[in-house]
Amino acid sequence: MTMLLNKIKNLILPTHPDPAQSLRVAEARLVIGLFLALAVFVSIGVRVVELADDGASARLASKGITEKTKRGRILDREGRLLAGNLPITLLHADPSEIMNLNDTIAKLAPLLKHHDKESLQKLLTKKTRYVELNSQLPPKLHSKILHLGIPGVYFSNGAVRIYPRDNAAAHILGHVDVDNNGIAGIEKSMNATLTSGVDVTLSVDLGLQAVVRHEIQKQISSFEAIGGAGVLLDIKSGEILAMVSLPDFNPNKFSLVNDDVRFNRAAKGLYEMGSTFKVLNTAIALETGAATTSQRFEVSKPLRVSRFTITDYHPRKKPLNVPEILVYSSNIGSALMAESIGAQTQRAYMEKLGLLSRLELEIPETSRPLSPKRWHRTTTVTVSYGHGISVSPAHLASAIAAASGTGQWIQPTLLKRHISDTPLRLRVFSSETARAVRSMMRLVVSHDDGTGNFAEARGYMVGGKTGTSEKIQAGSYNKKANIATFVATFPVHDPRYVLVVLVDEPKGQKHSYGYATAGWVAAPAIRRIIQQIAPILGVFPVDETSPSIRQSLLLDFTIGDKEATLVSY
Amino acid sequence: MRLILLSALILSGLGTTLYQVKTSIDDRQRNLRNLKFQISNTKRDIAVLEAEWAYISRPDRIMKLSNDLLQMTPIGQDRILELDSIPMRIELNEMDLERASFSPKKQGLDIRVKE
Repeated sequence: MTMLLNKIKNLILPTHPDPAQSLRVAEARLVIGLFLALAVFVSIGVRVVELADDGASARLASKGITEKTKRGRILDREGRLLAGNLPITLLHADPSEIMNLNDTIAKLAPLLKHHDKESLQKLLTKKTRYVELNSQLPPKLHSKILHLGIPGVYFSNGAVRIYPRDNAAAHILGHVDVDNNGIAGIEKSMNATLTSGVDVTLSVDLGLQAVVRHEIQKQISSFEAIGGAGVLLDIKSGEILAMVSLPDFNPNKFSLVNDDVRFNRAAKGLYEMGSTFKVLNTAIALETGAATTSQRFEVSKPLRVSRFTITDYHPRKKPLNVPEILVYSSNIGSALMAESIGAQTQRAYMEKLGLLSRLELEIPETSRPLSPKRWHRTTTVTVSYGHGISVSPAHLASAIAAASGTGQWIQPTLLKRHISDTPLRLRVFSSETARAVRSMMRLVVSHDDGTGNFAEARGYMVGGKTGTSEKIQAGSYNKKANIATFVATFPVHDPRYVLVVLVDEPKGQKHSYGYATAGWVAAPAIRRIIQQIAPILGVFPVDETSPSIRQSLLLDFTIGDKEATLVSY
Repeated sequence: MRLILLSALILSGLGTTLYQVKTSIDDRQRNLRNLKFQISNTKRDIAVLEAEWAYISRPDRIMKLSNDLLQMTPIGQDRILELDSIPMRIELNEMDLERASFSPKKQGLDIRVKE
């Protein structure tokens, strides 16, 4: 090593210059000088390439940064996507980096829809370092502009909020504004969670939601109604499995939708629910001991309460017992029961059932029910059959779930509950009362004289109650405009679900012999919905006459002249 | 002289190692950037495909397709049985003549099992 170095040193810097060797020395010096110069140039060249590449790869890598701030998705209870983000390409430019303005404008103007030459000229001469040229660049255009290779023109990744299921859960999901801030529905109420990038899982099941929506839509079209609503509630967990308001809209085109369509009839709409309240009235009467199942009430004559006269749709000549009052839907009978319950007790129960206050749901579109400030005798009487108090379909579903299910009122929710969650539970009725109530609700559907025969989905043990009320318009009841409601509990031998169907202003049709009552309008929808969703929910059809089913119901009711045995169901 | 030589050797050794570490770090960084880029690209693709799938599997469309193409109707209550209510398979040699003549088709039964 040392010898080699010494040799080289002697060669280029000889200690004793020898004229004969001078040519070789000069050659060696040249070669070494050449290599040195080459090394310098190569290193400069490498560095130049490195620097050029460095900027590009850094820019490419920065593309991923936007992913972190992405808005959380909204999923249904099975994890199906209801609201998500679709990646889009954003075209922007840095005016200070543009070399040839005229050339850039000439190339870009024909490709961009929202800009012409003048507007581009204006934008690209601005004294900023960022101007947006297009916020949603289609892939084809993206590659075209990329190939033009215009300096100073850049692409970046953005995201646009999409609702891929179109109308399916429009009212629940709501919408976001241009800055991706929620302005309605879950998007608004869960905005903080969603903005932090966390997904929100709803209690709603897309499949059930679609069935409920489809069937109510069918009834709206077939009865020329102006709208409708539906709520499917899990009695045991308080989860709302489907919530439909019709007409609905495509959330992807939210700005084109008018206020009437945006209005959530299921949670915000307030309606007099009519005779469906008789279920609650019966439950309160049994619970407080104001009536027993076999007690009879005289209903043959219209009842006068101050200036009102209460009549029955189908007047009966004989005194009716409590199950008969429900099955025949007797207003007089319900009014008499309410009178023996008493105003204050009735009001207290209405309060416990959440029917006097705003329903705490996870969407901002809820309403405070309309109820009288002072609970007069007339109020007590009219409330017993669902008049003088207006609540939303969601209110009704949660109250009926308490009266016909476990007897407990459970705080309903639109978010998926876990087993460890402990929602607010209030014991309102005893389980015995609830059992009696749902046994009577079963008779409304199964008994020949019941008003809800069309809701019978054989084998699924549907219990329910019809309710037809006249709409209040300009301060008085409009006889031509009805609200047809049906509330169902199923299966009654092991209550798991409550389903409310409401149709707004149905009109009598030839196929319904001119009727536009709940039994004709809402009940068939209940039947079709339950037939389709029961297999999804894992509800098995049962044989009604089997002893195990009979044991789970109260049967010692007399309807008409005969005892209501299950064979007559 | 020896000391100088030794230190020169160590120095050059250190230099080489340093250089190699530096280049390998550069390599790794480039690799990391590439991977990150690929991940974000894949995520983008997933988001697009997810949205696409959600859109083509929206209930409206599925209902229409199943209506138009499959003519499916809700399962009748009499066509659902619990698994337990179906008798176990009978061994052939145990079967008597009477049983052998039984066939669901002859009896006009259509039994479907719901799992």
